[in-house]
Amino acid sequence: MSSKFIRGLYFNFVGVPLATNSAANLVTLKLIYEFWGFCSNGGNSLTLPGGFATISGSLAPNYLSMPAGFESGSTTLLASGSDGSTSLGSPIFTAPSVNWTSGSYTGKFLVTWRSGSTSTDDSVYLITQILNTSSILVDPTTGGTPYAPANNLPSFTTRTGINYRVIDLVAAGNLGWTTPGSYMILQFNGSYVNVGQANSQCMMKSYSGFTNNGGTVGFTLSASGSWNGTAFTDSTQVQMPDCANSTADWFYNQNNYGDNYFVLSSDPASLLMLVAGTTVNPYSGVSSFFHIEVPARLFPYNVDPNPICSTNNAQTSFQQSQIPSGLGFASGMGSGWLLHDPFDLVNYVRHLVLAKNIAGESSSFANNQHTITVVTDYNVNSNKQILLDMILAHNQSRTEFTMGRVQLRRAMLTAVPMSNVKFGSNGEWISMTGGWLWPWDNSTLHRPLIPINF
Amino acid sequence: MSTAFLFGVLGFSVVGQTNFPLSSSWLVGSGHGASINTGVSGGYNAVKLPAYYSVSSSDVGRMLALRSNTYPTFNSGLFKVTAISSSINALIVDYRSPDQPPPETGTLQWSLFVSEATFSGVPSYYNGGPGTGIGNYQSSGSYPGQRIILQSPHSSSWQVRFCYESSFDRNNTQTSLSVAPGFGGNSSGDFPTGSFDRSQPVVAHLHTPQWMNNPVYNTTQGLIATVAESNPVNSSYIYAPADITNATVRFYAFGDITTGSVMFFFRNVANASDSWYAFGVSQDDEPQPPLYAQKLWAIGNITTRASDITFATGLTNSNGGAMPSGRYGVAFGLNNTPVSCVIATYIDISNSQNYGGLPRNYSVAQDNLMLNATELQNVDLWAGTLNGSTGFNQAPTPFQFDPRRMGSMPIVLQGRANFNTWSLTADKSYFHTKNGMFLPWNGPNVYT
Repeated sequence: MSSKFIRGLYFNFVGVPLATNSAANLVTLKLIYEFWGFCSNGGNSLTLPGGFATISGSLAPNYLSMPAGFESGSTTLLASGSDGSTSLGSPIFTAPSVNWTSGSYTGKFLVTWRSGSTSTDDSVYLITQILNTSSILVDPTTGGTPYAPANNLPSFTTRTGINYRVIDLVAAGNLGWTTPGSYMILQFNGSYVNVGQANSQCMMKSYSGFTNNGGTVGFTLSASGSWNGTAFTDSTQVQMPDCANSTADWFYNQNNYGDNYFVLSSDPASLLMLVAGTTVNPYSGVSSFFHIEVPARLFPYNVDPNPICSTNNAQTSFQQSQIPSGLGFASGMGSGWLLHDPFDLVNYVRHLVLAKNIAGESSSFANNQHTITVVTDYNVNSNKQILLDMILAHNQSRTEFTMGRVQLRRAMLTAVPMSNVKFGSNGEWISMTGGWLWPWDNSTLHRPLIPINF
Repeated sequence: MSTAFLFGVLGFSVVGQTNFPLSSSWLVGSGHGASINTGVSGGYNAVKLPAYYSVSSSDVGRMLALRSNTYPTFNSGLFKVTAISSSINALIVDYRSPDQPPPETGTLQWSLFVSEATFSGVPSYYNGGPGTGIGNYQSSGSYPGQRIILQSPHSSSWQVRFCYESSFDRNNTQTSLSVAPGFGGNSSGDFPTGSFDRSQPVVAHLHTPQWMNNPVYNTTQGLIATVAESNPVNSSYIYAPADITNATVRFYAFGDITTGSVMFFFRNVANASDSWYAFGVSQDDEPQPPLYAQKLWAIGNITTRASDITFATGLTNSNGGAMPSGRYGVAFGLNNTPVSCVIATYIDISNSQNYGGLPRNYSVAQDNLMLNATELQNVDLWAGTLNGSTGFNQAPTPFQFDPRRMGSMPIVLQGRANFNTWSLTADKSYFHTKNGMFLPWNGPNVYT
């Protein structure tokens, strides 16, 4: 599994001079752009990202439409180069082509990658100190690689020729966006998961719902990846049905809230993100998440060639409580998955998540209170915690029966543990909340991904 | 009929028995070389027997077990003899299909058993002891009640025990007829007593009272009224409608001649009290357990005879309430004791009680449009996830937590519950019983 991570990147909106209510959205999208476009999919270009809509292998026209300067404007991209180097276990990043003492880089963020690399060193780091003209000190724990001598605390490995960009998230947030209208089209490597699958795409687009808060963001999935520079042209595109109303609120109005930890996880065919708040009241803190992935196809290729699914959640702000404290609710992890249905792209796009109940099915459908969340959950055979696969099924009554069309790759289910706990033979999963596990690489956490267990 | 199917169709052999002469006085004749639908007089449903057995009018009403290696899903099974044809030495059977069987000449293995009435008149399981001591399990040793242990055709030679329990054990276990796979059966049809002493040899079978030599374990543990309604100690106990006096059922059996895994269904002609039970070995284990016995499982009905045909094997509620219908399973744990076994079907993780809202249970569900067929999914067997069959506030039972995924449950698949009952899928690949339980078919058409 070729995963990359941002492991709880800290960003405090309090006191940051964000000019508009939409700024928090732009900060978030900017972080997505950098992580997905460069850390996860970057090539040798310091300004052109990978992982966005392509036509014949090249970036498609209008692969994004964001405010001027969003990508590499002088206020958002402060420096860049390809001469970065790191040493095993050291938090120092060296790049002689930049005179680090000549600018105000402290508190800004360093984006690093190498073309084709699978190293989890490819990530985004907070610059904490300028050491000299050629070197800076960063917090390597937001990315890095598990370092055994340090009990798997994420640390840099020895690398040279590292591409890098120094970005200003606050400046990006203050650019202002258009609602509706601003968008980015991410592209996922479908054949990484399923034989013959196209490079499916996902448009993240601003909508004008909740205009008082600067708008919101909704998803449109194009299973066949048909962006032609102007629009999606395939018949399988499907849009989040509620992206213009309150139930799709996603990453807005952070201005009034405080500290946030950004968590991102990717592989060539998935992108997961959590923004977890730490405000004074843990249960009214701000949190939000999304999950996009090319799942494992369970139906034959000829009837379901290009499955891609997504979910997101944040209804009233970054409410931590909106991350399901159980196992999901209406538009959440458990039952709000967007997945195109070729026979109905409007009414039946939501899917729910099914897992096998290891306590057995009750004789009474209405009276089974024993679920996978309460029975003992340790597998004596494998000497591991029980982890369950999940499949997506139709969430709506309709004249069709679809139970196991796809299987999620980038999430597993277990009995409800505390958050921030590693699972699997080699710590390849980590608990988020409600028994929901995200991919992990056995790193030791030096800060929680979810600040407050709930 | 279950044992006749196991013996005559799946190739089980008798290890030992008490007053259960399946392979002797209840077996009228058997051998190889039978033929069916050979085009001679007698009709398509004439089973011509070799000359070493001469048919007679006494054969009418008897059960004929056929095993076909050429057309196993057409010509294997139990057939009732409705007439004879002395001129061609043939038994005329009720083929139970509007179709004709594919012809076979001299290739069928056959076993002719006594009539169903003889079988159903056999049980005398209300006998008491003699026991082997107060509080001990009594349906073994010199106990005269009917029981038998059969050995599967599988290379592991796993066995299965059927036992009409003594009144003492029945009163304590709420079980009349038990079924329990395992190893180590003796000539009397009994498994040995097990032990929690880890220095002792492993005793591997799924009859918990016999393993513990104690049928009243629950009572001594202080359980209350729910004991009478759901008994977690037992191996899987049959309360098939066939066990009810004067009940008339249609009998369905689905078996695997390689592993010996089998499922039995009882369809009450009065459209009530349908039931099923099954046992065998898990498949797709991950990883393989150390002992083959740890692949064995049995799922039977609980105390009520009103059980329906569903996947239900779990708990009913959280406050120790009754389990009004459903069934319970037993497996053999990695801890080398009997443990619970359940069928793991898919649930909605956002609302685990929302069974009615599951796609499988949508009342309007139809075939899947992408597959152009009804969608079927496998189900899993999980061992040791429960230590009782009722709620969490029950006293502990002898079952220990020993949770593991055994593997996929063989034979059965889950599909939409509103599919026509007791009918075939369009391509005849599967046979739907009730409530989404689909079995492999690939045989002739069926009468509804």
